[in-house]
Amino acid sequence: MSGIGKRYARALAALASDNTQLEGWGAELERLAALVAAPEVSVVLESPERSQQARIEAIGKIVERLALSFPVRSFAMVLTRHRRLTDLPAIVQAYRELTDERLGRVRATLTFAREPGPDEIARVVDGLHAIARRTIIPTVKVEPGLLGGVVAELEGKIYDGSLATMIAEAERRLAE
Amino acid sequence: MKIKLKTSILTIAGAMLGAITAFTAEGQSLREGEGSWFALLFYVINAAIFLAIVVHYARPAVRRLFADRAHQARARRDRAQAALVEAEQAARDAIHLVESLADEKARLIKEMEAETAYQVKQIRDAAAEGAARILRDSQLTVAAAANDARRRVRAYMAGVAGVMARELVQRNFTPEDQHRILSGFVEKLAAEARV
Repeated sequence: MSGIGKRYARALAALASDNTQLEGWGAELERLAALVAAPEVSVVLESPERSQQARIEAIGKIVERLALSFPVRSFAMVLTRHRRLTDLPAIVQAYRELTDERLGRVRATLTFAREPGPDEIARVVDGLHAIARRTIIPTVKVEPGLLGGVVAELEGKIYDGSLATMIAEAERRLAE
Repeated sequence: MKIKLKTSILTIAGAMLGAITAFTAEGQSLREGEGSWFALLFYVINAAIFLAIVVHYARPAVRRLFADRAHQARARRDRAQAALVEAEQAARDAIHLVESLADEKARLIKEMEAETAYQVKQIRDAAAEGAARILRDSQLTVAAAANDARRRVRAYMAGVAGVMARELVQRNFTPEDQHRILSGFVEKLAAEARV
């Protein structure tokens, strides 16, 4: 995470008076980042032919269409004036981590070989909660190459319980 | 000196001329086969004068001659003696040199024998060491080749087993299997959480 992203994320988070506002602004920021990252929009915003005033007007229209709250709208205008729109993905990431930290939760990526059922996700999330001792927000992915089991990524650490890895480990032991 | 010499010669010549004249006059009165005391005296005096002349004039030259000869002879003798001494010294030196050469030869022979023995030992040791090294390398090579072959066989078998395992899993994997694996996984997470 970049230092610039952290600084801007802290500045926005500092304006929030409660956790609900914090989360709401996070969602709005993610929507804004997704729209700004769209090729047709980014071409307009990053074009050197466009004046700074034109960019500000364009971002004003975008925030109006997204119906963002006043603080997020102002934040977007500040980013545009400071020519920091290209740093928006990093800012969103930093804001997300900041929000998770304040709300006592952590994100985890769960990769299954097949589409998992809710109970399977819940079991793995419970297991990760025992380690992190914080609320786990899972992101589920499917990778058929795993054959079975699950691979969980939590705070940069990989917990590999996939069948593919088990077979590979067995292969390695057999080959020794 | 020259005048004295001429005077002497003329005196002697005059005496001899007088004597010869007297001798000739007397000789005419004698018969054949008869001697004369005067003739004897004449011959004696003549011989004496001859001898005196010879002694007087020849003695210095003879003395010088013999003195020179004696001197030369002594010089030769001295040189011969010096040469003799030198030759004797050279002979002694030669004998000494021969003796020392013999000692040197003996020493060289001894050293060469020792060096030869040392070199032979070195060569023998090197050969033994080389043979041992070759044997050791061969053993290591054989062992490495055997290990490599075993490793490759194991790797091949492991690969085959892995492929078979994956095929079996893909064909026969059931939700119950997934449930069982997840249970094991959650248990591992719980164990890590306890740590």
